[in-house]
Amino acid sequence: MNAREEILGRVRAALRTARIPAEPPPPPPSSPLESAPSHEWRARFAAELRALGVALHEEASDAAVAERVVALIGTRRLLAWPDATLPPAVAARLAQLPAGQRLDLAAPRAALATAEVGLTAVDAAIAETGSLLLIAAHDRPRTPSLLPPLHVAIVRGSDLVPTLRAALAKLRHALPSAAALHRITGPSRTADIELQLTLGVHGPGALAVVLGP
Amino acid sequence: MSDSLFRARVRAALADETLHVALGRATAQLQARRATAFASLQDPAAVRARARAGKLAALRTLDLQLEEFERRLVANGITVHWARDAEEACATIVAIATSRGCRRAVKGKSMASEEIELNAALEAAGVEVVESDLGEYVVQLDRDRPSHIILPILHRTREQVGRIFERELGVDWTPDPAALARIARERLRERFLAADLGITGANFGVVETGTLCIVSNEGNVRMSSSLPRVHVALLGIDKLVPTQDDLDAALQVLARSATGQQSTVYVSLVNGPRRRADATPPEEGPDEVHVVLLDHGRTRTLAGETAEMLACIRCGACLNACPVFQQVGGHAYGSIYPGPMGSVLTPTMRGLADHAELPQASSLCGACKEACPVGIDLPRLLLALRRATVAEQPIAPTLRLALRAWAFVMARPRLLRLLRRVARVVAPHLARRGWLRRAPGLLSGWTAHRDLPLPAAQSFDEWWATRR
Repeated sequence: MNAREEILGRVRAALRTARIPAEPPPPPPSSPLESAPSHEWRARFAAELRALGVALHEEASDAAVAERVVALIGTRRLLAWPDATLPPAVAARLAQLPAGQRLDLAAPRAALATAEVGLTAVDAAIAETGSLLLIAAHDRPRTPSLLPPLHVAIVRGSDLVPTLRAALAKLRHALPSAAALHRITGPSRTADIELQLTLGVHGPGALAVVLGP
Repeated sequence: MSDSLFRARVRAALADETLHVALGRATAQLQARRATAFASLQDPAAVRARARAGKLAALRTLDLQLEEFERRLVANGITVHWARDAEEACATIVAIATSRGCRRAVKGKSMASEEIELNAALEAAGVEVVESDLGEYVVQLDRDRPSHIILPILHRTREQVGRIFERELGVDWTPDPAALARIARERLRERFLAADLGITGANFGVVETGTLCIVSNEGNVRMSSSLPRVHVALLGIDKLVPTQDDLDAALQVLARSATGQQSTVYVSLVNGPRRRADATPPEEGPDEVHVVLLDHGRTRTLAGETAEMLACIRCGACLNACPVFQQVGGHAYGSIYPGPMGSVLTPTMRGLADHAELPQASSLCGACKEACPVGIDLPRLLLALRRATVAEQPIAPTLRLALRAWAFVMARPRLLRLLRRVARVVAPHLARRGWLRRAPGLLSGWTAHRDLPLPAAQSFDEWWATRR
């Protein structure tokens, strides 16, 4: 008998005597945020980011978002999502950066790893936990939010959802065809040594969110 | 594991003062953080109930759930393997590595891989493996074993970690956790970029979507599942949850119970290999994703009384809450699953005969049951295993005699009162500083491990009689 058949056979045999408490499943827990007005999502998102140690920059216009992004990048080497997945104003502003500052996504990985800032948009932002959701796809590379020591994420007002459930519902058409979905909540951290909080052990040690209108 | 080995490890742990300080500080802090994190939920009981219900629902029809999960994984482009035991799991993963020419593997933290001793198997086949979780990296450098399922080096002080780095990596000694983490980041970054195989566990398998859910705070799991061209995820057959809503609830209680966080920093939901290798530039992500579904004794835990144990989400809360774990730490248990959860998992998965001491290593105080985010009745399971032990291995005749004598006396109130009067006269002569440390005759077996207080001047029933 092959392993699959044998394991399934063992499972069936075990289930005949298994004592598993029969409890009716309760409904999925709901969050009060789900029925709250969307300006409350914004306030909660901001509060959660602050608690996580994320630098939040709220901007009133697309142009201001683009200026803020460029200011955060400064003169550092940049690994960014392709223009098509960034807000047009940001893409236009990045085009004015000095040649060579923005790394070519087709470059070898060792070159990508020298980036000092990673720039991405998001596919959803969760107010309840201050989390960012990024689909992994050909036009949404994984490394900009992973390899550089600083990750700058651009969040539009329309990206905000109250909870993870709402986010998964929003993305339900995009998800099945995506290779992966990543939820990011704050900077990379560890507490493995004597429970001492240490930031940036493998992923970015700093996360900045530019929240647009 | 024989009884005497277990006892020797317990004695060694109790004598280790550094271990005591480390354990005491860490478990107290972890419990406080967990309590705070649950307080941020509007209705913690509802989230816990939903998380429990999801795991139990998957177990109740586990055969059907596994078949459906496999169908969904395959539809997502993932290759599925089944492994009856550790040997088969190791052979499967080694075969994936060698048939694809993988020589350099990076690993995310996976207790299942510790369980099957995967690193040794890969190295024997010429595949270099490096652990990338900071704690597991230290364990690997030190040729040690993890002592906690969430915090592998709970038993180490920062000074000790500094010495391990100094010895194994040739860097200057430092006790600064931030500096140590920086060194690990640099060393492991090179390994991530060069790796051609990424190995991870999985915290949950979502049946309805055929998705693997893997969490980490450091980002090493994202690296391991994104950078190498082949990704292998090893998961026990007990890791399934039926729906995304079940996953949502499970994630909320896992982060809070494990580290006192509202959310783990990185949650990777893996649906399969990269979809558009043909795009310009090509999509990032692995070309192949493999899932290895592991039994290795889990179906034995599933049979009978202990089935509920497979609802465990491996958060470690019962370890931190357990007064026995707080005293002896994880290594004393002789299994990578220590504490109350391990005392049920190890004897059921690996055989009660060799691990009969573990269910005894509990005071049945119930702290583990209270801490468990999915409400596993650990004391009930430990008692069930104790009953099974007695049924399998008849108890010593002297113990049987003593228990019979005890039952005889307790069923006869007059005799009990008479013996109590005798004890009140005799006991003070045998005591030292108010404690009986060596009782005579049959009772000496009891006092070999526990001190007895002197009998009270007035017993409860005597006091009660004066009140009526």
